[in-house]
Amino acid sequence: MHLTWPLFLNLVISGLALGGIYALIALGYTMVYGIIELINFAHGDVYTLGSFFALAILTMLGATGELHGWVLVVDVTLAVVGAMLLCGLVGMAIERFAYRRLRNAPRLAPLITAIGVSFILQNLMQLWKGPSPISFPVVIPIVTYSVGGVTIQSTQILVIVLATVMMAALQLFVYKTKFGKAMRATAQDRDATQLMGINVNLTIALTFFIGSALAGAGGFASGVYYGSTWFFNGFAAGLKAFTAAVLGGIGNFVGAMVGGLLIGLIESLVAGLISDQWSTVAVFVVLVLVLVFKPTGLFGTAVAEKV
Amino acid sequence: MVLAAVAAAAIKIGTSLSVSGAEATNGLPMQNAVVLAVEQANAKAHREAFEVVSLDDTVGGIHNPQQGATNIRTLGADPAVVAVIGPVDSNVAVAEIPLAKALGLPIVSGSATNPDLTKKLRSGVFFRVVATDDLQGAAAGIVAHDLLHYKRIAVIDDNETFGRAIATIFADWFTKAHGTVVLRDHVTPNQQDFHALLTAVAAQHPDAIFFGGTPATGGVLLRKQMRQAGLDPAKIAFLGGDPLVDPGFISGVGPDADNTYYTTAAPNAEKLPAAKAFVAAYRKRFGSEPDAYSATTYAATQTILAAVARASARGAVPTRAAVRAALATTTRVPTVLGAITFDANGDTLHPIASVFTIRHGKAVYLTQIDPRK
Repeated sequence: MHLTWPLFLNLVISGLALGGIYALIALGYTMVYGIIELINFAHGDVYTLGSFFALAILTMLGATGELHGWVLVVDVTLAVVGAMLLCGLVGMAIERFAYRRLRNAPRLAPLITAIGVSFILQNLMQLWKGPSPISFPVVIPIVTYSVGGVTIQSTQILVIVLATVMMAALQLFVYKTKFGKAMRATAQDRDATQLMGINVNLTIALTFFIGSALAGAGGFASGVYYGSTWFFNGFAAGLKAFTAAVLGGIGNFVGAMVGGLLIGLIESLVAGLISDQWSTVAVFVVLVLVLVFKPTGLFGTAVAEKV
Repeated sequence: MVLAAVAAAAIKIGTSLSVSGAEATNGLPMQNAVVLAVEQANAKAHREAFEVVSLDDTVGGIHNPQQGATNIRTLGADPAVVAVIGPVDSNVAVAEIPLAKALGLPIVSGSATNPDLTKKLRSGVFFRVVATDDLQGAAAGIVAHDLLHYKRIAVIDDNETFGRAIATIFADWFTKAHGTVVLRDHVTPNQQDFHALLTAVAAQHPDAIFFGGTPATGGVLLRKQMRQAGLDPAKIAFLGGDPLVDPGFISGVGPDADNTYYTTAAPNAEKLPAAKAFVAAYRKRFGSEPDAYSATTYAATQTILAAVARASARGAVPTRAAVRAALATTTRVPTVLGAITFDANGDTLHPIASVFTIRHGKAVYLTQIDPRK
């Protein structure tokens, strides 16, 4: 493959969009792991569920194709906020009914439960929208901005902006609010936090809500970006996002964001410059190398703050 | 039911098809075809002479070779099962054939088209009524080169038995015809993002993309993401093999499904006089339209029923081994596809490929390619 600057930059742009989606999912993995040390394997399916909710909302609003002006702003806002809220509630429900009772059980029990929840969500989605990939309305008008052979699409801008805004908002929430402080405290020492009079159950539920809401936003972004969704999408996307979280240092916010973007970039560059069939392999080779030389991940520290 | 139990034990025909998940749109019409053929045979015999045992080879929404092998083991364990119809996909057939050989259980397929299944494995238990991908790949090449006059094509496949083979056959054929394969790549199962690959494709300015694979293994998403990578679907055609028959392709892609060309490994059932009664009976029984591979699967079931009839000529209930031997000598058995004869490898002697295009969201029959002509 003849490498040119425009080709390289085009691949970087697709990589950033893909990485933005991974980062949004990875944050949920890392938050939940940070606070209760559970790898929530159902999280990838919550992301798919986000695209299903967004699709249902857009269908209800009568949006089947490109929208313009105020209708576009209102419909997109409703779809994003709706998908985030509903996914957040689903996340809380999963925590309440599937994980809370197992909080002090051996670690394998909640892990297997998580896999079970993943199956349940997949099958519910299959019942809801059928087994085939389904069309998702691309409500954003597709406009291509081109400078010297480098092109960026309006949907790519949407995904990148949405991911950036969500990540910035999360940072503010965790480091500037009382709830954020409670989350960080619970992550450090659950019992001590409880003794300080903080409602640990509520804090953990809130963590699930926020993590799942971010996945919901990612689900909306993926629907618009790919123009389709499928009940099984969450499996592969969840696995890659989990890899991103581990790569960045599981439990670490900045790590999850950087890890997500890195994985998106690696996947895109390898697929475009070497061969698509090696892109997934490359992602996991990088993961293995990082874990060999820095087992805690890029940003992970042995203990200290984990949220 | 009680009466049926009292009567002579039914001869069982197993099916192992993809009847849930993304490929159910393809697999269910096939299973329906088997059910219809068996119901008609029972009605003719005025008793429950045959029984269908239907299994699903889907795991996680997609066909699964291990599940296929497990199904063959399950069906093989029941001595009353004399033959199996299946699978939808060649990848599954590869896992099933060695096991079926060990069990002496014949498989007749109306859809698995990989050439190696018969020509290389030569198991003696695998038969098919459809053409192989040698013909399908070449037919797609004839369409691309002779009909559409394309010069530059990117060839992508899903890295599975069927997809990789048909893409390679197509690429070889197209290169020999002095076309240029501008890019050759393989995608990964469950991959969602093809922007990077398509960006690389766009840099090569192709006339078309050939995809060896199914709508679920990347067909829908590749076609759908072309526009965003700067490949206008109205100008750059999408070519593929028979999995694109699946109505899930058109519904999943939407308007950009137009300008797609695909081949099937069988004559167009709607054009065949012998298939008219089948199409009418199918509509009446299931209230939906049969597709290309329900007709072939119906024909596959007909070859089994004919083999059972020949094997039980002396009135006794035939053994599995007798049915297998009878299948191997299938000669000019009348089916909805016309008379079928199996060669020594288990392939039909009269393979035909059909060519379709998608126009205004509907599949339109173009022509058929008959290697004997």
